[in-house]
Amino acid sequence: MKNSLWLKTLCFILAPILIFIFTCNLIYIIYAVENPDYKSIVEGNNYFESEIFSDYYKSSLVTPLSRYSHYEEAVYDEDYIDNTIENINGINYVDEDYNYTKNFVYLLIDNTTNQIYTNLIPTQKTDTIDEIKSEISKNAYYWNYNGEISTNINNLSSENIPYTDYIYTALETHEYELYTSVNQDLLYKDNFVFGKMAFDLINTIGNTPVILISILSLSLLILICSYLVISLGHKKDYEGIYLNYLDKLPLGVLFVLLFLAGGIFAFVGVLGPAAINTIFSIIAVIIFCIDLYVCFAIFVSSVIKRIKAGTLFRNTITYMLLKWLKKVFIKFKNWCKKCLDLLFTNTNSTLKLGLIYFGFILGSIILVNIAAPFTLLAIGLWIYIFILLLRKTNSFYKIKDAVHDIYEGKNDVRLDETNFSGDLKQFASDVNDIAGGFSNAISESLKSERLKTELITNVSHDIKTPLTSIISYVDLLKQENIENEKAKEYIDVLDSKSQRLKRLIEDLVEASKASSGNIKLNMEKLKVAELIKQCTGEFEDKFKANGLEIISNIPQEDICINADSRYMYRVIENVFSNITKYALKNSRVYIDVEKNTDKINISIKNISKDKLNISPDELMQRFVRGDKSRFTEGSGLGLSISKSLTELQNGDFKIFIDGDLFKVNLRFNMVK
Amino acid sequence: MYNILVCDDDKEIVEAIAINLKKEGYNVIKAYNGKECLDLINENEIHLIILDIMMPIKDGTETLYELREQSSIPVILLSAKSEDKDKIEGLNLGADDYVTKPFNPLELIARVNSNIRRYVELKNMPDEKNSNIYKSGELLINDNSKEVTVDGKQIKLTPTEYNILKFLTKNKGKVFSIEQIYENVWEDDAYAAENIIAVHIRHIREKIEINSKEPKYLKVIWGIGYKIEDITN
Repeated sequence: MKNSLWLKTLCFILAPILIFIFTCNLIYIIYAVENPDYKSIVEGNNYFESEIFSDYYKSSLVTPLSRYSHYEEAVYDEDYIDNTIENINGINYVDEDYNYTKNFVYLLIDNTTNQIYTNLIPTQKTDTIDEIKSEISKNAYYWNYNGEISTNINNLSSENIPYTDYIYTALETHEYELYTSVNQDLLYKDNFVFGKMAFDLINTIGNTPVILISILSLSLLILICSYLVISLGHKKDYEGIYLNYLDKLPLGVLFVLLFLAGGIFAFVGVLGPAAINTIFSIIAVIIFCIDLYVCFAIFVSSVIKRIKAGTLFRNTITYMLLKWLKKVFIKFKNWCKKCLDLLFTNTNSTLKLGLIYFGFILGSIILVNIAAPFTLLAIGLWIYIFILLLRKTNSFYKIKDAVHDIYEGKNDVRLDETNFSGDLKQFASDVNDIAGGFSNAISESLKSERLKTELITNVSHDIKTPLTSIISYVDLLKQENIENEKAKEYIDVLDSKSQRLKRLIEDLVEASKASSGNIKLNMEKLKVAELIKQCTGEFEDKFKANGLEIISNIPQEDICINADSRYMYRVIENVFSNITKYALKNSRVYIDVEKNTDKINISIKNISKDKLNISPDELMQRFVRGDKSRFTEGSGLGLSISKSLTELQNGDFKIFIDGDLFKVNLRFNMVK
Repeated sequence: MYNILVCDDDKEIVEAIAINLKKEGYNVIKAYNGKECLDLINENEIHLIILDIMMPIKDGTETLYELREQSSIPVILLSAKSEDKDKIEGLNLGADDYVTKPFNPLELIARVNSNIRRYVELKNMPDEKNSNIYKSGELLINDNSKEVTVDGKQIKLTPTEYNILKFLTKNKGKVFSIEQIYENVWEDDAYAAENIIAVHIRHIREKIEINSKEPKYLKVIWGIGYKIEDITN
């Protein structure tokens, strides 16, 4: 309903028609209410007593009087056509040629000029004045004047026709006798007949249809308008209010455009053809009205749409102007504030600059004014100041670039302090100090990291030598045939602890190297599926021994990553060996490989046999283990090493703990 | 009776190695620094040297360098330095093997045995010209007798393991993925390959390698596949 274009168009066409109908009716009603004649028509019951009849009768009276009086000579002197048919016995028989008063008969006796006129047809019965008079007096409604008015018509008695009336004036100027009457049967079709028809019509139906039509047209109009108000701006397949390009124009601009469209058309379209002839002018007026209506409709519907879309005020030139002014004002305010701040933030620099600036201006003015030759001096001063400013600016930019370089991470930034002067020299030297501090700090930390790794490596060498002896001799002890069961047990403890010590040292070295990035990587393209298969193959027996079932979900297609083959194995080996150590016996281990656009996700999930009361971050720290008691085998470095190695290979190593679910997530960039 | 020179500045270690070697039936000569080592080589007929790197007076690398100027006796380097670069350096100097401390005594013995066999006994290895014999270094597969030997020591393999090893040795130096191995050995599509192959390979490695974690013949290239190293001597 809302979106129907046809319905809207129909409404737009109907609206003006309804307005027209309603206006006509309204005018009619207003006229009827104001007019007593109309009242008499509606309320009276005899046509010949109504105002219509008396009005027509009165206008009919004018015909003989105006024609044959001298009163309005000026009117008749040129156009006067003597339409006297016959003159018999001094009586002028006149064919009035006026169809609209055919039922009206008269006899006019002008005593001043002794002329006699009548519009009766000359017959045997109308030979004399008396015959004419009797012929006239046959009719029921008469109006006679013979010094005074005698009539049986309501509104034409001497009381109703004031002395100032035209009829009186006409009668007074000459000595007239006027005998008139109208046949009550109305033999001819003239105005009296039309008047009777109108009277009968209005008298029978009264005001009812007019009021009905007004109400109907008005309610239909209201309906149409409400529909238009509701539906305007809605369009098929469009959310909210649709504004076309006209609706997007500022309101003022739209108004001027439509005004011009209406106005120019009125000028060209109406005045032009109107000059040619009447029919053209009527057509032109109609077109002009339609044009005006279209312009008006466009404007009003645009306003309605704007109101609905909430852009009525926002989309006006005034609003835009105000908004812009506000923006400009705020900008100006901020600028003023900044200037004031600038003046007072550093009074020292303000004073210095003020002295230089105003001194310079004042100096220039004085020099130029004292004498013309000093103008040269002033120009010299200007150039000097310019060079001074240029140098300062250049220095400033040099420092700015240097600071930016430091920010970018270059640690060999040095400014040549001799190139700077004044405050900027201090500035440059401070920047140098900061840069120096930076590069020192970086090289210090690099050095300390390297030293740490070296230290750990060296210490591990020193530990390894005695450990070799321990392992060797424990092994020798085991080979001895020792009967004592306790001693055997002790040897086993020694064996396992010495082995653990060995692994600890190896892991320690590896962890320190991995975390300091002290590892040479040999990156190559690896197939993830192959890697997982190989690794699970390596651990198959250990998993089986712990009753762990591996459920792997690896895509069929070849997914490759860029990594170091050996270190990748180390990463997964650590995770798997963790699983064999800490996973719940007879549970399942899930290995999923997923491809997300350009990333590859390897997730390894298992159920921990012990409660994991530790956070993932802590787990990845060095020497931290799931059980916290350090009772089980392992160094606690496994996950830390895996994380460091993964990151060295541009991967991402994350641990998630959800209750007893332990999940390792490895992410690498996919390689095509 | 082979004479083995053990040289380490740590007397206990020398002693422990000596005990183990004696049990294997070797005659052990002990030295405690590089200089002593070189002197003893000149005085005795030595079949193999176990040489520590970090020693006083003359260290292992220097000793090895001087030794190689006059002799080609097998040398097993023994060191706490476990970095790749240390191993490469040592092997480039002319060492035949490299064992890192702390070592498993059994592994060391195995390596000694291997080197001795190679040096003394296997001067006349069968030729590869015989089409049914595949070899890489001291790994030897005789397809006629279905026998596999490493350093002359016979290895017992299951038929599947044997087939895999034969296939890889036949194409030594080339890397094969699990799927490729499956397709070639089973002559079937690799539907259910999964990690059966990986398990077999690990078993083979445990059987033919002295230390399966640092394989000499059957190398694992993680994420790519497996290969038999092409060793020529």
